[in-house]
Amino acid sequence: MALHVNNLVKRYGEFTAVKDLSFSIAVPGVFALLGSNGAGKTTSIRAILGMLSREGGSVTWKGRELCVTRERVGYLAEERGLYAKYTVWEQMMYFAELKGMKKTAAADAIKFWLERLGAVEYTKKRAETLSKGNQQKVQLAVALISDPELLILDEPLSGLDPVNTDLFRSVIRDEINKGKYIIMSSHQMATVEEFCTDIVILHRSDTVLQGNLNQIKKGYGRVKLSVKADENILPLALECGLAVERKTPNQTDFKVSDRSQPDMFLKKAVESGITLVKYELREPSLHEIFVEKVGGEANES
Amino acid sequence: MRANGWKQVFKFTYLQMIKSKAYIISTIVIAVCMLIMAVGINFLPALMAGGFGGGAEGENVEGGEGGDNTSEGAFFGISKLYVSDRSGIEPAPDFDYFLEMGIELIPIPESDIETKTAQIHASLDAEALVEIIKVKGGYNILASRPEFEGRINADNCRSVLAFMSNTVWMSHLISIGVPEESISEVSAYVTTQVTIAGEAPRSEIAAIIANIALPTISALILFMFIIMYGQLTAQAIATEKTSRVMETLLTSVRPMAIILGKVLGMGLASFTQFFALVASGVLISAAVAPFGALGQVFGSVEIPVDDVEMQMVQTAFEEAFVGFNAMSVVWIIIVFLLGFLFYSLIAGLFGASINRIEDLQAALQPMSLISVLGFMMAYLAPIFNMDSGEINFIQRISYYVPISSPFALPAAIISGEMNAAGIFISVLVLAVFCVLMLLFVSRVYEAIVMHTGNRIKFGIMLKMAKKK
Repeated sequence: MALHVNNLVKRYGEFTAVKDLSFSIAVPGVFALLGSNGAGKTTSIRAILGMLSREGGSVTWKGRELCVTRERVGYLAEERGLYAKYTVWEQMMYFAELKGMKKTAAADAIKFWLERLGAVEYTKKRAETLSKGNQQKVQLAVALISDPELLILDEPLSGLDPVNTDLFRSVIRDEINKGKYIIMSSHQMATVEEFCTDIVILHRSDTVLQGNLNQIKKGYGRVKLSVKADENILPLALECGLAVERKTPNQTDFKVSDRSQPDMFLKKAVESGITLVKYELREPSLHEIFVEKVGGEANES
Repeated sequence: MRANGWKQVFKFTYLQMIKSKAYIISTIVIAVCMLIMAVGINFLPALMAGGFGGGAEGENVEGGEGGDNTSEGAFFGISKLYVSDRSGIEPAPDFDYFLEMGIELIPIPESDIETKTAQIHASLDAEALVEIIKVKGGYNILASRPEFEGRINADNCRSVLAFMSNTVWMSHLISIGVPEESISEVSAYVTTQVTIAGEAPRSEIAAIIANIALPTISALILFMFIIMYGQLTAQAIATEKTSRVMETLLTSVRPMAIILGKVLGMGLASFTQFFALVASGVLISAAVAPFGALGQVFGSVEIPVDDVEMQMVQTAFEEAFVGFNAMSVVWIIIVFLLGFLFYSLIAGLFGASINRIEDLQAALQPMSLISVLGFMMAYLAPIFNMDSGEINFIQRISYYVPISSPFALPAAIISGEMNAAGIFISVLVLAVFCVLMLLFVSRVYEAIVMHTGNRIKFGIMLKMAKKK
């Protein structure tokens, strides 16, 4: 087991921010830490990294207590922070040296990452003159500069334009291919789904779902039907017992409560001469699972 | 080690600080101020003497040629003096020296007093009326000046009266039969001094330098540096926290390393500037000394035999700076660095207690109060024992209490008021408090560094540290 978080508890006075969080990362890859706003994701990350004191539990990395200053750990914090008045080069060199890197190795790494992230032109610019997206690139470069084994990315894609989102995704994919252990917290479920193997969903400090994403999905079964047709299919679908979950101009998503319903719908659609552009019987997406687990209560509150 | 990485923090903090525009500009400004001060101190006495002499000469020429007496350039700012001598002293007091100073002397009879008084009252010129009157048991010299103060004022008249009173007194002695050559003997005065057995007594000027000038100046300079840079340290720590850089830092170094590196880095930057101030002062003073008063004061240039005042000043400086030597410089540097460390740690602690940079000043108020108290103890206490020459209770306390010792010790070391053992104990106490403070602050800092929300009060800091 590479990383093992066991019954982690964090309290602020009477308020429990993280309640008995436990998970393990056995193999390299992406582990998703998900949750609604205020669920305790960032607090969990800070407690795992030892930035916040813990009221209970333990965090071990390769069998011993995790010490971020000793291990090769990279961290991209949710709240971005750079020294506003210093140049990109100065602060990257500083962070690299703090990680114990020699000056020449640090310089090479800085050049590599700024080039990889398309930020070479900002090398001698002060951080305060950079756009939010470019500051985020510098921060990602700082997190990766020491070639960390354990990489923690807290909302890495928030605030990025589509081009930079793709750039960040390609970097994350590279890190996965290099065999890194990555904990990612994000609200962009499609991205998390693209990368992650295991997940934990937190809601109001509690763990409401955890495990291997594929197995979780299999556990739900094929309970979603997405249909796109040129004709109005709603009367037919309702006749077959399908419940409309979401209707967009492109397609309609139905909730399947009985395995026979989609077959019946398909048969009747063909008989009625309806042209089906899309017919997909599928497992729920991570987004749908997430909304099911935390959405109802979030709306109530 | 819990403080691994402090060297990198220290190096980065120091280099970034000394590269900043504010630092470079303030260092240049300090050097320029030192230049102006050193040159001013060196040449001021000569300039003052030259100005008076030149003015007197100029006035003589101008008065002689045109007879248009104005106050410009005249001694004491007065160009015409009406004198009514009703002292009855025989021979009458001789004020001819006023003529050499460019002041026109016009004796007037008693009958003209009323008219002249009215004239002077309304006059717009630099003129005054002096009446020397015999009174019971002595004499009274009354100077009347114009209502309009544009040309002369009461101070001008008092300066003239000081000269006149001396002349009247000497004339009186002569009139009662004291031989002229014995007057200086008659006017010999007696002073009193108390000193610790075996120690050389200090003159009044030396006492002023040692008990007022030196403590005030040294405490003020150290106070400015220590507090200013202490606040900058607090600001740097607060900025790191409020800008969220802290989270990135904490994945590489422990909080103790951050605060230690930051405080020491700022301390070295502060010391660099302090050293620049002292070095520029010494170099500029050395450069200008051969041409003026500084060289005479510090003994590198011979003082003319008849310049009694300068000889007194030189002696006073020697007495006041009796403890100044190479070792004392080393002690002062140690005191400066420890004092900085002590106050910067406190400042850093309060800087870490906030989450918005605008709360910084309010957060630093307790430190400001403590430092002002220490500063007051350092510079006020010696003033009270100027006459006795002994060290009073508050002064003694100020040498050993860490809040005041960084400000009080340098003057005490230079003036020789503390012996080697006293200095060692005092520095040791300060050093021990610095270590304790470092341990305490790093513990509290570790507990509060990731705290968000309102400013943390000191009591809560203590609780958090205790819990940790």
